[in-house]
Amino acid sequence: MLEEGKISTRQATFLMVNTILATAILFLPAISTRQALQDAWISTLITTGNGILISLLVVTLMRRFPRQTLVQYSEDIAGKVIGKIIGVGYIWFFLHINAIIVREFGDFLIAVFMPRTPLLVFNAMIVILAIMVVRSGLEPLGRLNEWIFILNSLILIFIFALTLREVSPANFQPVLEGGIVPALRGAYTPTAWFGEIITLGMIFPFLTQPHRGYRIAIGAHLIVGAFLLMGAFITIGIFGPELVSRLKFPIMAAVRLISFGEFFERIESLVMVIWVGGVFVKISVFHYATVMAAAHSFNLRDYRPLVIPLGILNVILSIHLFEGVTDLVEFLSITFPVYALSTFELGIPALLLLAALFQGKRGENNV
Amino acid sequence: MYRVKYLPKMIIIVIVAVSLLLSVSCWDSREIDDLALILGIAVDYIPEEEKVMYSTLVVRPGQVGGVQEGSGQFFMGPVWISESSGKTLFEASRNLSSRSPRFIFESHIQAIVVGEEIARRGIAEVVDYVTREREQRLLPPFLIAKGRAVEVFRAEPELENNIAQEIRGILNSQLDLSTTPVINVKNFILPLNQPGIDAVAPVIQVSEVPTFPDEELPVGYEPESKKTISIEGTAVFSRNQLAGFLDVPETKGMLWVRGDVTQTTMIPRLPDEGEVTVYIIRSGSSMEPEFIDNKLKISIQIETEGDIFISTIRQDISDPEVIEELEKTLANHIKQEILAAAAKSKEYQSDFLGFGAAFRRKDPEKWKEFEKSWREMLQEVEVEVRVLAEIRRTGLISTPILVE
Repeated sequence: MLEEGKISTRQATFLMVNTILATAILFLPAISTRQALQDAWISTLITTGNGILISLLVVTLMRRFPRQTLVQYSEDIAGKVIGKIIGVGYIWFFLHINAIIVREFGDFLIAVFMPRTPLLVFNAMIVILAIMVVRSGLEPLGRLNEWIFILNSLILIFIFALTLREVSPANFQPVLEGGIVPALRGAYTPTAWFGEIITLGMIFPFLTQPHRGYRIAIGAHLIVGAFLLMGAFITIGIFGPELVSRLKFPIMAAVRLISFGEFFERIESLVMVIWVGGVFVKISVFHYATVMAAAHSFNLRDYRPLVIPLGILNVILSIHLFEGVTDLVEFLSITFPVYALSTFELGIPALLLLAALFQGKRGENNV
Repeated sequence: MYRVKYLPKMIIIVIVAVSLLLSVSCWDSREIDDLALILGIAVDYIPEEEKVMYSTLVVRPGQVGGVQEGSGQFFMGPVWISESSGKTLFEASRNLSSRSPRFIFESHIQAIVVGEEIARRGIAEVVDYVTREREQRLLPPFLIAKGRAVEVFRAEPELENNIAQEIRGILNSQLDLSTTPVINVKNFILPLNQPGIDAVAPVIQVSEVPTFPDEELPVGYEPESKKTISIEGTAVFSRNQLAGFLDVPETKGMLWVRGDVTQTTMIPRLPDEGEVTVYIIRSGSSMEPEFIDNKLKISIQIETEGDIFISTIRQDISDPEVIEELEKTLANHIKQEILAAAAKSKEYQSDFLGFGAAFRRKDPEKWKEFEKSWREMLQEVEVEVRVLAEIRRTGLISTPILVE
């Protein structure tokens, strides 16, 4: 075993929540409102439904092979050659998505807080942190995230409570103005975010209670869905759908409106707290998944020597993948869903599951 | 053994710690000593030069706490009004830095005043400027000046240190009077994007008042005057252009419809020439659009509650019948104000009452048919107003103490 640590069901759930929510809460309200306008909250409900379907599928696959990672049993199911190709594909996928997340991290901090600081500084610093935590293993990450998750949730609930009085219900009317189609299209991009639950495939063998896999994935999606629903409710209620679709970071704009008695205001640094904390966990989980995928594909005895080189690769990719924010958002809202869902998040796991069912293959100690 | 084993690690930790101390820095650090804190911005268009003028009200450092007059020092006001111009608003604002010894820092703006001329030409550039810039937030009050906006900054504050705080204070007290809408940047830009509703903003104007009343003027002094500001009425937009102004009764009519009247005083005139001032405590409004054979009709329903504040009528206001008559007069008064606002809405082709939005909520399918020509359709909308006014309390006395 490459990993000696074990994480509990709760730690795994919280890890998955932060893996999906960290970037979703900032980017998604604008992206899904662009398609669904005032029905973006319906899109969120649909997305959560989609997310649960995806988790049923991928967790069924994971539960058949509870002692192995996704990359390992893809070799068992699809044979050595194709299995290796899938494994290398997953290394690339996790690395690529992680580079995008690192880019989002730096871009947000530059756009909102520190415009003249070079992108490299933010990207390198967060990846160095991720390298440190991945080197120390899954268990410390799981424990650390319990605190970060609780802190982030409290801050988010606090923000929602303070902005609630600005919400005007008229902004949600008329409901389903253009029928159900815009709401479905608004759910399209977020579904790819929910599909990031596939990273669970890389930590599944290290769960103390693998038979609770469904609970982890579905629980994580329900928590994320609840927070995103709150986010959609607050942003659309305050700004109206037309303005939300034009704002780059609607939650940020909403937080900037908080002002009580001219002394309790300017609390947007709280958004920075949840952003840095949450995205740190997200990047760490993805980096861990990248490193694990690489170590398992090439049958290494230790994954630690890979942590730093892949981290450096990640920083370089994060800077050179996109020209600017327009590219990034375009990729996230149009290319990313097709790319991720058709292959690594849904397509390949579905094929693997089908093949495993036909062959009747199971791992040891399946639950 | 112990020490030797850990010595290399200790040395590395010390080196890292010391180098951290030396290399603490930040690309975006800004010391407060290097900032020009801007309290207000005024935007004007100068047709003769075809340029946009950007004026700012800057805190003069060291003068904020108030100045001791007559101490022999050269008197410098607490604020600096700087002006700069350019082809675009952004260019004008950057040109300011050629005159300011400090960084222009716009996060603490307390008022944004836009001149009539640029508002009539279109507000898009100003809106973009105050929403795109990272330092800007959506909270400061947004006002339209009659005439040049920069004149507002040249006026003298009465109580506060500077005119921006004065504006903010006046708007806060307006919440109790309802003679102008209280609008911040967010409330202003919301309707600009939404179908079927147009933006409004409070109107600020500068007037000259004598410094001393004439009889108090010391011998040998010329009568002086000073400029003061007042905020009253509403500027109404049609799409992104200023369409016209509403006076106070029309403004109240608009606020009734939007459900924004919190407290106000109404003076319904009665047949016997006495007057009653009613202090409105609560009010609510609802709008019901109807389609009757391709004709559009809007029914506005207002429910309001008030107390009697001042009364100079002869009748006994402890008599329920008199109160009922008063309620009817009050309801009629409110109705007239709303109808006046609706008439202005048609005149300016500006749907600031949000009729279009009400139709859209009622029937999104039908709304799509006339969305394009909505501003023309607005002329044909029939407006019906029903007001339910109730007077709850009559103050501490019943009939007036002195009645001739």
